[in-house]
Amino acid sequence: MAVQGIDYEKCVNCGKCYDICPDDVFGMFCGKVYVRDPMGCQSCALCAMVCPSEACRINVVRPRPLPAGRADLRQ
Amino acid sequence: MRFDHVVEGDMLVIGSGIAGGLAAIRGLDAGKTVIVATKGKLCWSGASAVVGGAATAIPFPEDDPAVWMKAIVEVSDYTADQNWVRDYIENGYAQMEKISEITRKHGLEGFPLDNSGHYWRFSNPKYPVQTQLCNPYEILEAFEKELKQRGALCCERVMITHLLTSEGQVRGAFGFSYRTGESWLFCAPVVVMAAGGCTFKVDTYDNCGEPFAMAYDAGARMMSFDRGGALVRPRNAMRAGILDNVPLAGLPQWLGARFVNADGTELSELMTPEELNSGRLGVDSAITREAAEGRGPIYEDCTCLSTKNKELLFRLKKANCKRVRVEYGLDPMQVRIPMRMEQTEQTYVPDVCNRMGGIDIDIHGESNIRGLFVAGDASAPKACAQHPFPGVEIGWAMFSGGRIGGHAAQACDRCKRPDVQLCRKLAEPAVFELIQVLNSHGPVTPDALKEKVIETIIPYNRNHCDEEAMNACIARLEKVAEELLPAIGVRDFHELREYVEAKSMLWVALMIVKSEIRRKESRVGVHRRDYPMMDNVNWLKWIGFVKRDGKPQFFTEDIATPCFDVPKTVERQTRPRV
Repeated sequence: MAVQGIDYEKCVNCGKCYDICPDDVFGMFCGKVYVRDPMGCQSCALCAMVCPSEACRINVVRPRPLPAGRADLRQ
Repeated sequence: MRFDHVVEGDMLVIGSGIAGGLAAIRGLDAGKTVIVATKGKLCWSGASAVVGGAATAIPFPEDDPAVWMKAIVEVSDYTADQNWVRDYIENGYAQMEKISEITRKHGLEGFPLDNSGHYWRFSNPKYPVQTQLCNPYEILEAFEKELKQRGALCCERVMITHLLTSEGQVRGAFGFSYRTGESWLFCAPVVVMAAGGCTFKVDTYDNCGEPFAMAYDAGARMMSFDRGGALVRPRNAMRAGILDNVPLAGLPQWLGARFVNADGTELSELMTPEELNSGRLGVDSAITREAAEGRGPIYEDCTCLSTKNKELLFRLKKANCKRVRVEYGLDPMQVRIPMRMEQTEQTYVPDVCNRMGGIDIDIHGESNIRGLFVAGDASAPKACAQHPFPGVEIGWAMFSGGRIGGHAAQACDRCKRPDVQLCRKLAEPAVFELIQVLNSHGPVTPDALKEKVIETIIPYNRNHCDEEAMNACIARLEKVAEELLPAIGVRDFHELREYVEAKSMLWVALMIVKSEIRRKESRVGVHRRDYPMMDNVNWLKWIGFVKRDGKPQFFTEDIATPCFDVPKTVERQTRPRV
């Protein structure tokens, strides 16, 4: 899974991740950000880039694998 | 009918990445009232926002133009538009300098300089031309500041769904905010469509072909969806390498980073000649073997970089560096980082960016709909280069944004601002269409429709080898359209956005295969078992289509060769793939 979540012990509620996410992964409730749509995360890491407190946890694993095509060294 | 927002201006720019941002700035330079409508945050969505530090291939004044012309035309299998390539060679550098000037104005550096104070250019033995380092993060940050400071009307988080046209002229666009449900009516006599291409959720998730679909619906000519270009991407991971770096061919390595096995041996020294000639597939074959034989994991090692290069690499790959710090609890500049095995196992996916088909444009960047200009990945691939020649796609975004933005700004002088009442009337069918979708409560989610398209088009992408395979793919996609589209249900405006994306993605997939089946030869990424030769005698043509009576009508157009003679041969393609 790409977006792992928000570490609320580190989060300072600046809302920058919500503001920048191209895929609308985050939502906002009572001034706090939450992960609204984890399957929509493309691992661009813009949220991690803007987060001032390293509260945004993501990795590069696709939410769903792509289908297999014939991929080998022979063209 | 009531619209929450009615915005009037001289020039509407849809999309605010490198191409759209620069086009909007050109409009402001010309003194026009510029509206920028963007699906994400201003300047921070689409392909531009995720590419990070990269190579861009823009000809410099001291370069030999003939070498550039030959390189781009040949590597495109002669499909590049030579008139546009000439324009790119002559005017690309000026647009690059303009971007550089804007970034410097805001204390940023869009194009890093080397130790002698020159733009940092690289040579690669595979290509006869140089590429140079660019920092899209700092370009976009500068564009964001520039657009806001100079008074562009910026409308963020607005999904544009329909272009508004009458009597062959663009009048504006309609969209909605997917976070609030507010409706937006834009009235402008000139529109620059710069909202990207279609990635089928392989790279960016927010480029789903809506620009193509809405332009086609409005009557625009579409061109070159038959390129069949293929990329190799990891099935299970979004990013290659640790810092989004293609092993052996990426930016960290230009600056001195290494890929090593657990023993510290360079990966390139462990690869067979066949693997070294096979791009990403070869690299992953080597990585998998090293891991299977107990010499893994493979590490990306940036610890050997100079202090200056470490600082530069951090700026260029800032998002991924910070992600790695959180993900691993390690600093990639201080310790080597093990690659995940999910980043192996590759699959072939449809090509993206400027290399796939798009909206056809004339030499000024205008479509057949008066006032509709197209820049960046949304345009037909005019000055495209195919893999493995990177950098021209970002170069095209920079060049076309500036050049076509300038032409669009001039066009404002000949186009009268449309009457708002006319735009309201023109938007009514768009509203009714979306209301029907909001009112539908079918069992199929837009996300499920996207996945169905992806699971059909991706396996096809390496199997479009004969008429039977192509017809089978068309039949599957048409079945998806027939069975799933009417059963769609959306629960809120977020899903309405996804519905528009899913429908566009499905349409793009169909147009790709319907275009490819018409090319009775092999060219670019289409390798046909039934027509295995590249036929420069009968098939030096582009394939396009336009909407007539509700259906696509296909046509061919001869590829003009005013600058570079194409050999009149019929032979197998020899250009290296991927």
